[in-house]
Amino acid sequence: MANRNNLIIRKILIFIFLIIVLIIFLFPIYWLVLTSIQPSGEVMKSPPNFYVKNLTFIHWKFVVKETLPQFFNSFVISFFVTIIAIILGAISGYAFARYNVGGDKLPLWILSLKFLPPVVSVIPYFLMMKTLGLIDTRTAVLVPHLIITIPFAVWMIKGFIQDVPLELEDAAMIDGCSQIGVIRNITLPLIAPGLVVTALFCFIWSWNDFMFALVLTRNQALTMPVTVAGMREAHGVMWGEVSAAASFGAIPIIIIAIILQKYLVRGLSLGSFR
Amino acid sequence: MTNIKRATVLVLPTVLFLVLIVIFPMLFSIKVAFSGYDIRIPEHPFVGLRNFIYIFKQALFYDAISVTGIMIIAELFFELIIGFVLALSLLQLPRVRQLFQPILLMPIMIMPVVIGYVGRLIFEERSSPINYFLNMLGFESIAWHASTKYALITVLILRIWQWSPFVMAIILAGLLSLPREPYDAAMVDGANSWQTFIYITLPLLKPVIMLVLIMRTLEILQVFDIIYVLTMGGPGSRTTTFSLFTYLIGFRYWDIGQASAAAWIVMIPLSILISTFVKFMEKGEKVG
Repeated sequence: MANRNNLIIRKILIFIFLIIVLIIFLFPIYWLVLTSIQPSGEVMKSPPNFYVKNLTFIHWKFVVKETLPQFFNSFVISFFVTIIAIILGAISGYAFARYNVGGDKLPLWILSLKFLPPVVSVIPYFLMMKTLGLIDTRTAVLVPHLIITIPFAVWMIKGFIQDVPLELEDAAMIDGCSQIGVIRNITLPLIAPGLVVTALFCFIWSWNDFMFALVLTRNQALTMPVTVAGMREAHGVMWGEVSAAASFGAIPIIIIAIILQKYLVRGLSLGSFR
Repeated sequence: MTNIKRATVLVLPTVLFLVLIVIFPMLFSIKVAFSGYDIRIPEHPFVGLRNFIYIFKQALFYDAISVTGIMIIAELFFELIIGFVLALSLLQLPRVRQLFQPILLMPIMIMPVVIGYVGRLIFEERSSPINYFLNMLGFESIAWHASTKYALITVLILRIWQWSPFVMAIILAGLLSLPREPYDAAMVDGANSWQTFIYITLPLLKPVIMLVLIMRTLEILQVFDIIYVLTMGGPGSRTTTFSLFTYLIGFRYWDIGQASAAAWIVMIPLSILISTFVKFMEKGEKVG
């Protein structure tokens, strides 16, 4: 009986500890949102407001109006990056998963391209895009984003296809389905959630990129991260406005992360954990 | 068509495309690294090792190496400890885990630029909440990222805040996939929980810990966004990471040749790490 009580007390203590951890971890995000919904006179004063005293959306209105083109740029770039990555990833992921082409090594080497630091590849991209006259276009940002996303897509989709038992495909084949028919009727529906998960991750990787967009755009093709980073320099200290822009830029990511919650670990661990 | 031929046809477009967008630019950047590539001058003559020699002569290069090195050691150390503590705590409470884990992982998903800006908000000298708490506890306000003494510590606090949950999630996934039997045996032998952790959990988790350390190191080598927003490498060179150093040479001082040389210098430790990663993943493709 004493043992049981000890166990319960231990669990309660751990729970309290975790609640404190959660508060500490969420506090910076809370502070960002808090700063964005208070009048300029109320933020960054001493002592600070720890809750909203005067709710206002003036910064949000300003920011949404001002940064809509950049938000749209980010969206277009991430969207097309995702589409291309998923198409190439699905085709080659299937071949890697089912025919073991290139052995184990080739898909892994493709995956490892994801670790190439952007600062390394951005230099030749800057020169190439300059020569091609593509600086400050969405295309200039889109292409290098594929370096981060295609390797990830190939690897993840390969894993999702390997999760589909080969016997299922074989059985359908015996029933007279053609190879294409098997893929369309059996494999594709089963890996559809996997494709969505992979696509959403690709979208995030592209959306969050800062280095490529910073070097390869000037005004027309600016993306959200570059805009947030630039507001600080251009407007001095406009805490409310920049906080609103930062929160605004993070909204799609938070929505996606909520959708992905069951698959976050699988994506972040590059498929090592299902 | 045989299967293997068909598979090759399926893989070929992706491989060729990657060669086009990765290998080709990288080869081009080798050429640039050996050229005098001042962007304002149209001629780019071959200059041999001059760019590399210039890089090795700069004090900032060694500062960048030491900042990056300190970040790797400090982050791996603290993130592993915090990650372990959180993972072991969440392991005890399965229902809490399902709710807390996605929330804790949120800062990793949010763009690093925003994380850097959040750092400016909460570490601001005059009126930030952090300094408010410090004053309340009777300490002086600290200039955090603006001070020589605390700038790197501020960056590290933010980074550890952002990335510890990643380590936690991987360790937790590893813990959940451990076999049951060794623990039963240990219980029969009367081992206490500390002994069980040291002699059973840690050895079993070794591959997972290795994986997390490699992945974290590869990510830390890229740190740029958060520092660009928070400190721009300053004060002085206190927070200049290797990525920022390379960026500044290339796109502030506009010496693309030297920047390429710097980029290729970092490729040496990077390629060793990446091939370790590949070997490691090949050996146990599914760690969990």
